[in-house]
Amino acid sequence: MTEQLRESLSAAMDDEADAFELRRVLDEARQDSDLREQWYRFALVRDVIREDMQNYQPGLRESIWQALNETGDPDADATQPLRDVSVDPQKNQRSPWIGRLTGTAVAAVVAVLVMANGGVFDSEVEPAADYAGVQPSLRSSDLAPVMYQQATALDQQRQQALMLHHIQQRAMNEASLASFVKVATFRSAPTPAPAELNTGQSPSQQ
Amino acid sequence: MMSLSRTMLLATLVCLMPGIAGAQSVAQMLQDMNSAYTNHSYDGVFSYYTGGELASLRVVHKQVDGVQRERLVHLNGAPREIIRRGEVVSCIVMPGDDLIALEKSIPAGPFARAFVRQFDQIPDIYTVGTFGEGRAAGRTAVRVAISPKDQDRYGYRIWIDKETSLLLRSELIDHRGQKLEIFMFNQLLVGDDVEDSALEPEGVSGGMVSHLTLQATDEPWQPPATAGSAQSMPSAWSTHWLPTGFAMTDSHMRHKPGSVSQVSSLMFSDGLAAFSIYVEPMPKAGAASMLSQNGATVAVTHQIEEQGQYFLVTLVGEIPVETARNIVTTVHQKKG
Repeated sequence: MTEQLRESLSAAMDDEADAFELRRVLDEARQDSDLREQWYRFALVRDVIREDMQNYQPGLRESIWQALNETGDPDADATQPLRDVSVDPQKNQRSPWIGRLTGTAVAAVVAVLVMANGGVFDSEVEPAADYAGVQPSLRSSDLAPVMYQQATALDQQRQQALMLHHIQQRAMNEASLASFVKVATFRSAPTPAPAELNTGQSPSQQ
Repeated sequence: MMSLSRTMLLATLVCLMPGIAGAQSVAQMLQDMNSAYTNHSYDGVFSYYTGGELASLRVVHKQVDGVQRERLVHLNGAPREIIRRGEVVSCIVMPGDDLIALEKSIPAGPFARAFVRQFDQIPDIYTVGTFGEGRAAGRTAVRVAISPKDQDRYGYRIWIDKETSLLLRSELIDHRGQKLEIFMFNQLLVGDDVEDSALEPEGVSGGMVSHLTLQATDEPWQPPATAGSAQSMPSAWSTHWLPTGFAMTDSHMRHKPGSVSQVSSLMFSDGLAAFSIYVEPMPKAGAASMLSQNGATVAVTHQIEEQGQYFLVTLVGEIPVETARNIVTTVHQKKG
């Protein structure tokens, strides 16, 4: 990593980088794992100091890449895409956070993230809606099984039941507030045959 | 550029601060935080973020006539309440809710209300330090960072109320600094102003109640009835590898509800993080190796063969995926 890049990164972390400089850091970071690590460390430090919550949504960096890729036209003025994505009056109204975040390049990227993630603070998606038979669209982070081989609904139910058992067991063992919270907010993936949840076994099992 | 030196200086400060704070005093703070859970009366609303979802819950806690009582209400989505009176825990849910599938009686260890259970172990596997003061729920808090010394577990940042030692905010963080779970009080009432009536369930129409009992004693580990019987299973399971500091805290063999099939379960903890390993005979229909993740909780299912029999091993826990994979592949039947 060059000294100049390090300075650009540092400036970006301090919200002092212009859009062009930020863009360059983002491009470099895509190929340079050292730079990415440095970024994580700077961000962590800054986060601890500032108590920022919005900077660490899971999937933040991926969302930034995605958002930039979708809006970034290499032939266009490098400063333009970043400004454009931060201005979405409708979204701004929905989240008071975004209104405060516009203005600087880094803030614009964070705003993109909040939007790209479908709005972490958007209460329209109700976690328990699927219990009533309504299946909300699942986002990629939601219990999406990564299969080594074809997993059936039964496989998912089995894992789900054990997941619930684990968090419940923890709650009963530790009796801590945090562990009860896990039970209270447990959300299973929609399954086609909920009746079999009680057994967790295939009908052919004796 | 000034900004560089500033950030570097901050980085240096952050690295040094845990040493200044001293592990002992932080351990004491964590101890105080644990007892604050039971010693204080409180009524608050908090946010809980995990697995890409944000939930709002209300918690009420009070000791009434010497009995610990608590009520946890899910404020968004389908109505759910968890009511606790001493050692009886009741879940009030709507028909169709997955929580109905809970086993009726869950074995449990001694009653302990804890964020951290084994303080003496913590300094060996986590670096703990305070990071000055912050605010949460409008109250002044001391910030504490608990960072793992390896990549086999997650770290925490917690905000402890200066006045009452109650936990006001906590974040579960992976080794890259990403927040996997956030628990944060938005509003909190502490002390005698907490009303007894706030502990009563709201009585949602159409709701059903499911009771769980916290048992002080539990049936100890039982080897299967007799060798050679139709349901014979290996008597115990173990792992060839465990991350530093993890030890078995619990082991059971149980029947799956509505099934004759037995499942062995083992629970491991390092005092902060925990995971369970479940071993069951391979279902006749077969099963897939799979991995799923919900916030910090990961589940990995893996197939093993022991003495010509196939078993399904599932690990569920709040540990990194790689670590979970590394452990689950070393599960084996104990010899002898």
